[in-house]
Amino acid sequence: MSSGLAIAAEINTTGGKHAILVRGLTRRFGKVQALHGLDLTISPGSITGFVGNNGAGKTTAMHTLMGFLPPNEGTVSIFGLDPRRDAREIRKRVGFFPERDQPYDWIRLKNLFDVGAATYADWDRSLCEALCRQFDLDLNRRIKQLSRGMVAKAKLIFAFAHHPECLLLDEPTTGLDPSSRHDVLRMIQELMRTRSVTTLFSSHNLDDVAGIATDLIVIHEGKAVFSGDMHNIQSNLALVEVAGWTGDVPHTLSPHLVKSARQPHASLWLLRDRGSQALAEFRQMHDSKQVTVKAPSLVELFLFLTSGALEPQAQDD
Amino acid sequence: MIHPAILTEYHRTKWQMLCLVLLLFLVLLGLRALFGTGFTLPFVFVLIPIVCGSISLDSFADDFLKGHIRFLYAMPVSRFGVWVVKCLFGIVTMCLCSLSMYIALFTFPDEDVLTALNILQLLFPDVNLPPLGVVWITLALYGYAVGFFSVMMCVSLGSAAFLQINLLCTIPASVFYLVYRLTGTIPSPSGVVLTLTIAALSLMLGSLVLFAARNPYLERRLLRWGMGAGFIGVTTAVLCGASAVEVAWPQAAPAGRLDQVITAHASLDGRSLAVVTRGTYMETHGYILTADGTVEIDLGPGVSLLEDPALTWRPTARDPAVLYVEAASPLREALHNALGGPASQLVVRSLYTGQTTRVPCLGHGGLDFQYRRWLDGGQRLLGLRKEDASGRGWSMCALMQDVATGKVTETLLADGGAIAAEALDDNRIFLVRIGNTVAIVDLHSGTTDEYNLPKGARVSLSFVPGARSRPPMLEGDSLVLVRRTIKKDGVGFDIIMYNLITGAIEVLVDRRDLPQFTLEQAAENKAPFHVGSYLSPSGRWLVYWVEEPHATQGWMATRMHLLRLSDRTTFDLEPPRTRWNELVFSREESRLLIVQREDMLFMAALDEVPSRKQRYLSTADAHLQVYDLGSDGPHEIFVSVAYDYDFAFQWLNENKIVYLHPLGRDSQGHWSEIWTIDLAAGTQQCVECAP
Repeated sequence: MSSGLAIAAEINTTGGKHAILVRGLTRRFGKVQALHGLDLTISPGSITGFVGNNGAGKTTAMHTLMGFLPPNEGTVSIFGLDPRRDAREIRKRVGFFPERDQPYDWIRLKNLFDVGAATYADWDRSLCEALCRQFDLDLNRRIKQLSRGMVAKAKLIFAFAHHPECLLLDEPTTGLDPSSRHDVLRMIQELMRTRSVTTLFSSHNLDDVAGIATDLIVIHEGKAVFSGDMHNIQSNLALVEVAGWTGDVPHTLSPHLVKSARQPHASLWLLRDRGSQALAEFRQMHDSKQVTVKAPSLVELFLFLTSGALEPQAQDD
Repeated sequence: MIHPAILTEYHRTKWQMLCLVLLLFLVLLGLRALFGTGFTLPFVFVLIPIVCGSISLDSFADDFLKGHIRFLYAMPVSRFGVWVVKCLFGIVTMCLCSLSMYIALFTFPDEDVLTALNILQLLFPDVNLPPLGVVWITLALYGYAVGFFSVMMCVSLGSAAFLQINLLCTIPASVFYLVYRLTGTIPSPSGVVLTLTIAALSLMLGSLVLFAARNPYLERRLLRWGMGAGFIGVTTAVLCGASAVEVAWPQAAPAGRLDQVITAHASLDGRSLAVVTRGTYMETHGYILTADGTVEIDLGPGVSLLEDPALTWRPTARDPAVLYVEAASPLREALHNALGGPASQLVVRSLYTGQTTRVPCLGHGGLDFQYRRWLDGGQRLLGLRKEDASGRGWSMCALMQDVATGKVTETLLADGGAIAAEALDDNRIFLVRIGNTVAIVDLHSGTTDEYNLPKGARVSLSFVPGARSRPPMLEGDSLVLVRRTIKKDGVGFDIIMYNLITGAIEVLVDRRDLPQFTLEQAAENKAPFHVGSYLSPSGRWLVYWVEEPHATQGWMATRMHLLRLSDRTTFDLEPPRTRWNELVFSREESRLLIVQREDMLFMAALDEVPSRKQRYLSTADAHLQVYDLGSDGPHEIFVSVAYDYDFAFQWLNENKIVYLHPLGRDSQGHWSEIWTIDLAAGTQQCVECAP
């Protein structure tokens, strides 16, 4: 079955419950392959942390979702709409926070929000003004007169003030000082608390994600290598280290396996179910000193998924 | 919902436009104050495309080169809408800028405006104030299109600016030069404007295609460069094609509607023929008229006459011929010189057989050279060339050119130390030297005779339009000289006849009653007054003039006087004039024609001219006066006030005058006709009429 048919089938079987559905997405820039068969499934109302190293393909994926870039292969759907065909409709229903792009330097904030009010039918002026007051934004100042953190807040308000059904936030905290970063995260939390919006929040800062996300997707080299909800990660995920083990993963654990890696003197296995019967039996069969089972931190989880190790390694990029 | 680009463009341009309009207004006012309108107006033609190109470059530079357009694209917008909105805002900005420049230049007109328009007519002969706006908008459109296209094709401001400069200057200039080299002709200015308009539309279309194809999230260099190169090629092809069409089917004005009149006339002694040329700065047309004013020979386009009317007819009874310069209208001459093209051709055309002989015209190439006389019964032409002798006055050479072969023989007259030279009719050259001396060089024998002039005397060798150039020398080697005098009873001048051989002096005129000048002023040389004289070709009449204050109006007037040399009687030629332009005796010297052209300064002083304001910017008057020079002195027999500066007059015979009558301008161009005045019958007749 092709990817397009697969999506159609999924929508039919789930009753169109997925806000974002991506299957087999591939995007190349010349010889560089940015996305390599990416699959994403995002439920309505969720706040999904979209994490990955620099160059993993997060921004490219978001640009494809917004219809800025056509996919080379695969299919993309937001609320059942195809970005290639329905880009304007998607941009009406989606608020986008671009990482690098920003409004004209010379424009005043009030004029910028006037542009938003003239463009979007559902623009909420009172919400806009309230958020500006709350986060100390002077509407008479020009973009070039604002700090980086203030510009990020303005962009966030611009993305949110037309009451979008979905928010795509492309690294909103990157490059901000701790204080601005804290403000922006607090702003996102405030917005999420007051209104349930499907949010895809890309970052390579795991602390940011841990604070606000309900779901997590890890992208590595253009592929989604892990997806799951945060509660399940914290309560069920198991990182198993077996000293001296050089063989394959036992077949009893294979159904629970997310990823395995072989170290010089041990094997590491990431399992979905920490309390499974198979894991308990495996521990009984082996020396307890040789088998260590623990709940991975987000950092450990990310490092293991992206590099197969629990310590940071030198990055190629 | 409003397109977001409308609001962003509004916020971008509201102050920027105001500042730009104000800045241009002030800059032009400043330039006018500093350099005058004459300099400023042509400068605007350079300024407009650069300003408009920069506006368009700037408007998209923010969007594309700084990436702001990506922020705009995150909104539900139409890309085509962005392009259209930006174009419309740009066009409004350009129109306002053009308007501000127009107001800055023409709201407070000065006397320099006519000069400015004349300079402009070197580029655009049909420029008048209303069409000027159209020309400006054309240039603005091209400049704007170039800026748009450049920013669409390039990803950095530097490369966009580089491309813009090339599209504004290099490509049009190269096409122009190519067309000139291949065809030897120069496209007409209206054709150039039309070509630029087509090229501008081509570039706008190119910018739209590039804009639509250019995804700011995805750089496709090959596609961008391919499309850009394609449209530059199309634009170049359009420029070449339109220029080729313009050259193949020129829009030059046909006879009867030629523009700016260039006056040059000559009458053939004994046959009563006259050559008349008229034309624009781009093209001229020549006619030979009979004594009764009918067109005998149509010489066709590209005809202009040498400055001295005595050269127009070859002095030979067996094969009379007319001499003219081919394809030497002022602009063509200037462009030929600038482009290093071939020299203009002198054409000798037989009146009987129509056979023509061509030789290179030596006056080409920026040489200070003037043809002066026929030599050897019409076989050779004599000309004078002068060169700066590095602070030692001028060096003078006589050049003799064989008409059949074009071979030139050069004779050095003075190696520095000369002030002026003029040809006499008997193969001699009259030379004025530094140190109040004159010399007469015999070209045949090679001898030079030197003479000292009386103290304070001055030889007037000023050229009189329409008259034969000659020194004021009578038979018997007597010179007519003007001499300033400062005596106890007053400051003044006298006109003397000085015999070069004997040194005898006869005072012809003695004026020492110029009340406006004091002895002290004269001693300190602070009150130079203008005085000049002109000896008629036969030597029977001397016209002299002096500048004096007008009795009632207060402005300085030139009073002209006529001295009959046979009995030394002086007559006044009323009325006083602010200036005069042409002074032509008829062939028998029984009549005198004076043309006085009024300029802007004079017009401003004459409040009684009711239509001054209406005609202020476009025209001035030409006053024709004809005197009958009978035994009892000159009598004014004909007066005509032509309400156009461009009237030009010449004698056909003793009773007939030919003149060019500019009719005015319409959508097709400028119209003029050739008319004659019959003084005996008191009638006027159109000879070559507009359809």
